[in-house]
Amino acid sequence: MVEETDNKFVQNCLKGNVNAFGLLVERYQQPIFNTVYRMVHDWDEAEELTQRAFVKAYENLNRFNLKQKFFSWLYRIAINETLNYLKQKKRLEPLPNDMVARDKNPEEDYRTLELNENLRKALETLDPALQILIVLKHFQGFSYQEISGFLGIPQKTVKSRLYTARQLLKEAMEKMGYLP
Amino acid sequence: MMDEKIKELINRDLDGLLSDEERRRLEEYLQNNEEARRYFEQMQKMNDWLRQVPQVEAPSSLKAKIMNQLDTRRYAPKSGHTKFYLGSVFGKWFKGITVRPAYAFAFGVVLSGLIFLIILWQTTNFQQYENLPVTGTMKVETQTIPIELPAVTGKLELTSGSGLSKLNVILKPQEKVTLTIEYDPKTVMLKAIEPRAVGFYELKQKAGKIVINSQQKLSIDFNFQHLKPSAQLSTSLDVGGKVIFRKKIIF
Repeated sequence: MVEETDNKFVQNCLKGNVNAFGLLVERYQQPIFNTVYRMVHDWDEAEELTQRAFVKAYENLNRFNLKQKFFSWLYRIAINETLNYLKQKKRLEPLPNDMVARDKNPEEDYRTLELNENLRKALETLDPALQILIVLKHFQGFSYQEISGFLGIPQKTVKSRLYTARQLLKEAMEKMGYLP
Repeated sequence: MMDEKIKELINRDLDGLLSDEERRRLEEYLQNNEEARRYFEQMQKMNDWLRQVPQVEAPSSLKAKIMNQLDTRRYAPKSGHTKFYLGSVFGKWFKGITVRPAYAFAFGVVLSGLIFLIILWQTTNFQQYENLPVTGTMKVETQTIPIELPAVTGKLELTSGSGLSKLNVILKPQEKVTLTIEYDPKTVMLKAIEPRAVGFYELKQKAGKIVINSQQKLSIDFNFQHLKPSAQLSTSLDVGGKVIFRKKIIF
């Protein structure tokens, strides 16, 4: 079981084996980076925030409750880091949408697709607290139960907020002329 | 205005959570309501777009960058600090409590210092007195307390002057008697015990208490030094655990 091995890695790390944490990084860097990237749309910032989330998790590992799922706990840290970053960014750099730093990943075809570019613009009109629900549900494919665990809110709230997010995203796309 | 329940059905459809019955109800509704149909198609299209967004590969150097930032000593066993288990020395009340030897040593030093200071303070009082130059006149008084009991006869004779006293105890027991002399060691100090007659008796002395058990005649002098004029000795005699005589002697 993934959860059991996660806990084993955590316990080994707490005994001083830092390589055990390396195994957790290997296991979860991909989904964490993906989620963060889809929120901030900036390669370097996503990398920086992912690093910050893992380092924070390591520093607080002795407070982690082994009855919890490590993945949920880690995800929550990463999401909080990302939302705080976006909140701060909004306060410090109120740049218009078309001036916000763009994707720097040269290999990714996402940028070249006009459709996805438009989707991103529409997504950016949403409050980050709603954006994250679209990212977790549609881009990462997590269940309501998992999202509820990451965000620390009831599944019912996840569902109603996701409906709102979808509705607003549809309206934004409609306004931009991407939906007939 | 579209029914909120239909919006919920459409959202549940996007999540793939509709039952057959719900799907049938939704399809039926969509056939008869153009607004709902348009909403449904828009949501479906948006959902398709969202699904097309690809996953991005995390940078290959990400793990190394994270690992480089970790404080590797954070959870390392603290082998440099041997633990001192208090429970092993002080018993079960301190079971599980551990301290570093350095702290234990420091605590020991402080405690020893404190004990030393207390002893110094106790003895200093007498030393100050002892070092006083004795000049002038000295008034010496004697008080005698006779003992006339069936089990024992004799006397207690106290000769005192200027903080120095001598208690002469003479006892002629008929059976085994116990004489107890008690005093406050803060104000009275026993300086010497001088036997005056040949005999055989048990004598126990510790701070503030002298106990003599004897069946034979005895004569002993106890020399005291006392700091306060109100200092006193409590004396008692008992036979077989029963007190037969009790007297307080004020210096």
